[in-house]
Formats: sequence, structure tokens, C-alpha cells
Amino acid sequence: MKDTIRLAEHLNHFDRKVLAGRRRLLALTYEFDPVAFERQFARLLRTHADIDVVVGRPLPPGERSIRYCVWPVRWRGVFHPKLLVFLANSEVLVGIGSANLTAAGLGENLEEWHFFDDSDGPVLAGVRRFLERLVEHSVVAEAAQLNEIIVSLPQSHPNQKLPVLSSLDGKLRDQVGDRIASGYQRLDIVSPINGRPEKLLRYLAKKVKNAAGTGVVVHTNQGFRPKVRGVQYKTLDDPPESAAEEGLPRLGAVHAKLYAFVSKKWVDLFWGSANLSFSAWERVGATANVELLVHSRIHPTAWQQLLNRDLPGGHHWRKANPGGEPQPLELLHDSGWRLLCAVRDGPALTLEATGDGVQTVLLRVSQGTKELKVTLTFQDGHAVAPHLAARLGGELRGTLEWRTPHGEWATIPLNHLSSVDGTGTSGSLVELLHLRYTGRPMPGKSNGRPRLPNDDRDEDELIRSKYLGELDRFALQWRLTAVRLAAASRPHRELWECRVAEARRAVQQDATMRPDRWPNYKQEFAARMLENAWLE
Amino acid sequence: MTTVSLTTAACPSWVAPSPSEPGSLDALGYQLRADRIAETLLPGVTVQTHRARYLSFLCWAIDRTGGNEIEIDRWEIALAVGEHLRHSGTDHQCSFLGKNKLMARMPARGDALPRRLHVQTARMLYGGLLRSCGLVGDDGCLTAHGQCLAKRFAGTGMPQTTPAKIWTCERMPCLSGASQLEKKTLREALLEGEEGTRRNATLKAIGKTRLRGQHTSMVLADFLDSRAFSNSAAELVREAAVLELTALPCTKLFICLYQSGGKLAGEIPNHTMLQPYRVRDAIPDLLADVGAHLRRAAKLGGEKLPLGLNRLKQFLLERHRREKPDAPWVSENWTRLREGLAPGRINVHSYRLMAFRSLLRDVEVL
Repeated sequence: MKDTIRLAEHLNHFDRKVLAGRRRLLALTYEFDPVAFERQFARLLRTHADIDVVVGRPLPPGERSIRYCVWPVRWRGVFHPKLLVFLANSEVLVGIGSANLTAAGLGENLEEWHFFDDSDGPVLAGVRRFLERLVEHSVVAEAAQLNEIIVSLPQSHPNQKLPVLSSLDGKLRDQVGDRIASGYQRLDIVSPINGRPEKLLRYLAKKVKNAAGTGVVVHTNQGFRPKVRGVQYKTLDDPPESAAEEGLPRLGAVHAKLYAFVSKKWVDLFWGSANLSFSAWERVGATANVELLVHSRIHPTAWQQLLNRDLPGGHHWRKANPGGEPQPLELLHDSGWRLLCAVRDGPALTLEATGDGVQTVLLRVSQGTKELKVTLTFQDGHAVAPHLAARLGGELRGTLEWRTPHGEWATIPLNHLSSVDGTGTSGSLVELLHLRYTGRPMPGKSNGRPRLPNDDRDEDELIRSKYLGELDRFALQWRLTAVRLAAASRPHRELWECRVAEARRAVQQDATMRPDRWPNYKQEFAARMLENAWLE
Repeated sequence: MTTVSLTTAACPSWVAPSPSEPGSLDALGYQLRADRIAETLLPGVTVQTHRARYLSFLCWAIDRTGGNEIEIDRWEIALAVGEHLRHSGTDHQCSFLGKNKLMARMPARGDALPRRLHVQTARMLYGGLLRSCGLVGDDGCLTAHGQCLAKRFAGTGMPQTTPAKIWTCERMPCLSGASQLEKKTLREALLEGEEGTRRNATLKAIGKTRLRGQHTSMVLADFLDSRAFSNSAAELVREAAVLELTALPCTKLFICLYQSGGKLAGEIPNHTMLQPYRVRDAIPDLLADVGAHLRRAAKLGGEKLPLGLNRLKQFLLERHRREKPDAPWVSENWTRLREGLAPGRINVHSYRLMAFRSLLRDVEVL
């Protein structure tokens, strides 16, 4: 019996295994429900982890915590992958599956998921390639800074085939077709059915055509089951009411996406985010879905175990007949100009949009009465309004609203940069970097927190000495931060280089904004500390 | 550079269903009234009493053990293991208590019989029905009818001693394998006698055809008729049908308000066609369906609720805070006090009809 999996618990477990230090979570999801996410990932949100959620669908109205950033995508098709990449110092945990970060995805639907760690190099390399593609296509805002996540994953040769398939590399149908052999007994599919997948089903049925004529068995609980020769259907039956006595909850939709080509000796299993639909498997170009699939090869008994015996809570599959009406097709995003999100950095507000040009936008705090009309010039998809955050007033609680050309108020996420411990107060840059790479505030007399046992002379000096001058303190703080940044990155040099480059960029940015604090010699000193710490 | 590999040996797992929190159901407190109606319609039946033959088994076990609870539970484990050995891996739909636990545990044939299996045993779940059927008296001893049923069950070849190993449970009888004589005795127990007559009246009021093929919502929808029924059981089913016209849409609307923090734009339209017990999710459709249901409920003598959205919201809020005084989900201004409580699916109350149908199928009434 294979255990069921809880996403947040798995991350928490991994987090506890790795020494305190840098923590970062990148989550890719189609739908996002802040309430469900904040409830399930409450423990992680209480730490100093940097959390970025990339979402395919507009944010639902309502407030959200400012402890994490939400990044809508610049993609005309459906952005559909479900991926978690959790970085703990230099160790990485990657989760792939079908679950959105919603209440339904995190415990109400039938969803599949698996976590990979450093021992699954090829999968991690495949995820790296996928993230690199997202950056190449500018799908995610630059401010999300995916580079640290990308370099933490192993690299592969550009032409090397990996167990991770993405629709950004071409039609999924062709990629899967290239990987499967012949002599399969049948194809088991567990997936929702979207649009009109008859053509795809005929193609797949042809691939597994055999003398026994078992063909394709689609497991779904949707009303629409197209009649295609060689395709049979099964639907998920609730557990009997007597199962309630064993505390077994009932599942909602079958939302898992598994495609198992079953032969006598092994099963080629493709699983991930792609629904049984034309847009997931066959559409290409700018309006294609962004999908992610993993190719596993497992033993047939392991597949039978997963498909039948391991079904949560006494559910089982029952034969069903074709029939029903197709669901209306998912509408593609409006290709016109629209606002994606806002990023607050002190009094400044950066607005991210799908396109460039001079635009006049009407903004308000969620459900607020005060509206502000601003005219901004968007370049490379973003525009900076230096004092807009202050002008909007009120408490900016993680979402903003803007008036669409259709006259409706649409919600966009408002991400807070440079926030310390979730209060939105900005500390000095070195304090921020120290917090980011150690998970705890800069030591000093004032913070009064118990010191962790260590033999760090710089830390001792920072705590004990009452008479440190401003320059001594600056030097000790930067030295300590640089050493700890290197410690959090070891043994991964590429990751360390990336983090150092990021820290240097932050210094330059801070120096531009507050030149009085950053004479040249200080900038050079900070840079030298960061660059030399690897050898210490 | 990573090593070349086209595939991975990893097999995904299912995401664990979230456990429901105490107090996370029945936001508006309609369950109590539904339960009262169900108890009058089908006394002794619960949503967990699905298999008629548990009654025979329990009569036999009480007779055999002299009412020793530990021994009765041990025999029940043997019965469950026997069913597991017989049906696991087949398409046979023979449900029994502990099925999921045994599926998860997959005991080997040579293993010893587990000491414990499921928490709520048949002795607990069917105790009420045993008494209601007149098989056990108030003192916990078998009645003459109960002894007769115990004899019929023993006639199917029960082992002499409690099985000690898994494989020896194969000799235990199947819950679907009652003899015609045993079924006749069970039919009498279920549909005759003081409380059996009430169950029989409910069966007659609903009709075998309706009960055989339809879900609870469809059965109830057939009773949404303005004329009064002469039969008291039919009148009660109609009362349940009218109650659901209010309970279902109000609960759905409350959940929607809970999720949106009380912010819901729109109006309840004045005229919408009623499709009984179909309340759609999209906001305009939800409001239209709520209006249609509440109007029909008022027409049929049910609760008269305000049809303006703001007044209805206020009514729901007050009702919720009255029904959940200790742990309300929302504050007086709809701020969520407890997160993530909304159940995945909301449907009409079952009124134990599906469990009753299953019992009747076992004794070949349906």
C-alpha cells in the first residue's frame, strides 16, 4: 500500500531535515486560492522563506497575505503546469502532479503528485529545462527572479532526452508518440475530458490496438464521454455510506492526469498536468497550453496498485457508457492589453502588464472607494510609478483592483518587496540579505534574541562590543552575511555565483536610490566580501 | 551534467483527502430537522445500516456468545476477513464493514486474525435496528424472532470455533448468501411489527419502482405537489421535499457568502424556472436558482424567506450564528472566523432512503 501524499507536510518535513538558512519556494499552478494555500502552507508562511506563486488564471477577489508574491503569466494560451520547487540552502525538492493550489486540489479531488529530490537528477534537469523555456518566452515577470531556482537544478545537454516533457518543446502528442514502443496491451487514462478529444483518442487507440481489442480505458467522472471505437469508460464511484464510519471523506472530481501504456513487462506512464483535450496535447504556438508531463516506467503491478487498490477512502471504478454533452471550451485569455500585477517597493509601485505603450489606468484598493487615475508608459511590460503606493493610501493587503476596458473591476496581486517579517517595514540591505540567507535576523544587541551556538567571531563581536563604530559594524555585518550566503550555497558553486550576483545587483540598486549611504568604497567592500567568501 | 535517462522509476501517489473538521458541516442547522423526519419515516435505519444480513449475524453472535461484546466483535472481524478473501480483486459489489481497512492492510493468508479492525463495529451500528426490528429486547437478550433468525443463520454452516488464522475465515458465510427462509424472516423483521409497519408505510408511499431506480433528490422531487396526501408517510416525505427546497439553496448560498466574505453582487430575479434541487454554482445562476426554490417552498407551505439579497443574507447570517453559537464560521460582518470549512459538495439530505433501499435489496423486496 502506497501512502497518500500531503503537499505541505512533505515540504515541512524536507525543511526540517535541512539546516536552517536560505528557503525559497516556487509554485506553478493554474488556479490559485489564497485562503486554501495560506491554510495548508501556514507553517512555511511563518518562516522567512521567500515564496513565489506563478498562476495561470486571474486571482479571485479578496485579500491575501503579503508574505508571498503572486505572479500572473504573460501567455495567451492556458498556463496549466502544477509544479513546486523548494530550495533549502543548496538542496532542492521538486514536486510535480495535477493538483492546483486550491482547496479542491489540496484535498478534495482525486489528484496525483510526486516529489523528487537530488537523487532524481534527470527529472530535476528536465524541470530546469522547462523553467529555462519559461524565462526564454518571458512567461513569468522578471521580478520573480527564477534564476536562483534554475541554477539550483542540475544541467543537461541541450539535445538530451529527459523524463520531463513540456508542451513548450512541441506537440505533446508527438513527444509521447516518439517515446512509446509497440506491443501494449491497453492504455489506461485517468483524466478530466475537455473540449473534443475524439481525434486524440482515436490516435491513442490506434497506438495500443491489439488482438484482444482492449484498447483504451478512460477513467473520468465527467458527464461527457465521447463515443470512440476501442475506447471504454470507467467512472469513480463514491465509497458506500458505511465507509463513513471509517472516517473516509468523499472525493470531488477526478482531476488527476495519468496516461499508462500497459504492456506485460512494464508500464510507460505519462503523468502531470495535461488533460485529455485537444488544447493540451495538440495545439502549438502562442496559444498552446503550457503543460508538464513526467515519463515513468513502472511495473504493471505498481500501476494496478495505484489505479485500483490505493484509491483514497474506499472509492472504486465502475464501468460507464459513452454519452453526455461536451463541456464548453476554456476561453483563451483576451489577447488585448491588460494589467497583470503590481509590485510595491516602499512608496513606489511597479505595474506589470501584457504589453507596452502609454496607458491610462484606474486603480483602487480592493473594494475601496478611493480611485486613482494614472497615465503610465509601459516598456518591456512594466512601468514604475514612484509615489503611487503612498497615494493609494489605506492598507494595501495583497491585492489591487483596476478597471478593465469592459468597465469591470478586476483583481490583480500586489507583491511587496523588501519586506521583513511580513510587516512591510524595510530594514537595511545587509539585514535583509542576512535574513534571506540565514532565516534569522542579523545578530546584535538590539534584537535580544538568543544566539544560536556557533563559533563565529564576527557574530560574537557584533553582539558583545558596545563600542563598534558605524564602519566596523558595516564591515562585520557584510562579512558575516557573505560567509553565511556562501555556507547556504555550498557545495553548489553556480548557485553561490547566482546569489552573489543577485546581492551585488541589490547593492547597486540601493546605491542608486540612497547614494548618501553608499560611497564607492563601501560598494567595493561589500562586493569584495561577497566574492571572496567562497574560499573562506 | 546529469546522466542520460529517458524515464524515471518514480510512481506518483494520490493526494490525501483533507480530513473534515468538527463542526464543518451543516452551517445552517437543517440536519436536525431532516433527521427527525427520517427517524419517523424509517425508524432504526441509519445511513450506515446497509446490509440486512448483519442482523442475522448479530442475532447468531449474541446467541452464541451470550452477548459477550469482545467475542461478538472478534466473530465480526472473521466475517469481514472472509468477505475480503472471497471478493477482493473481483467485481462483486458485496459491501461490508472494514472493507477499506482490509484493502489497505492486505493480510497474508498465514497471518493471525487481527485483534482490531474498524472502530465502529456492526454491534454498534446495527444495535438500534436490531431493537427496532424486534429481534432484541430492551435487556439486550434475543426475542423469539431473534432466536429464529439466529437459527436460520447458523444453518448456513458457521465454524465451531472463532477462526485463528486469516485463511480459516474462508468458511465464514457471505453477507449476500442468505437462504430464502432467512430472507423471509428478515423481511418480516424489517417490514412487520410496530416500527416495521412504519417502514412498510414509507415503502408503500414512495413505491418500489421509485425507490429502486432513483436517487433521494429525484424521489423527493416527485413529491413536490401542492395537493395534500391522505397517507401520513407520504405527507412526511412531502414535508422533507419542501424542507429541501429551502435547506439546499440556503446552504449553498451561505457557503458562497462564506467564501467571498459576504461580498456577493447581483440580485435575485423575480421569475426563474424551477429545476428541483438543481442549484448551479455561477453567481447569477445561483441567485436565480435560490429565488426559484424559495418561491416554490413558500408556495408549498414551507418557510417564507425574504427574497431581497441583502435581507436574505442577513437572515442566513442570523440563522448561522444561532445554530453555531459556539464555533461560528463568520463574524457579524461576514469576516471568516474559521478558514476552509466549506464542504466539497452539497446535496439534499439522504433521509436514509439509500440505506433502506440497500436493506430491501438484500431481502429481495426490491
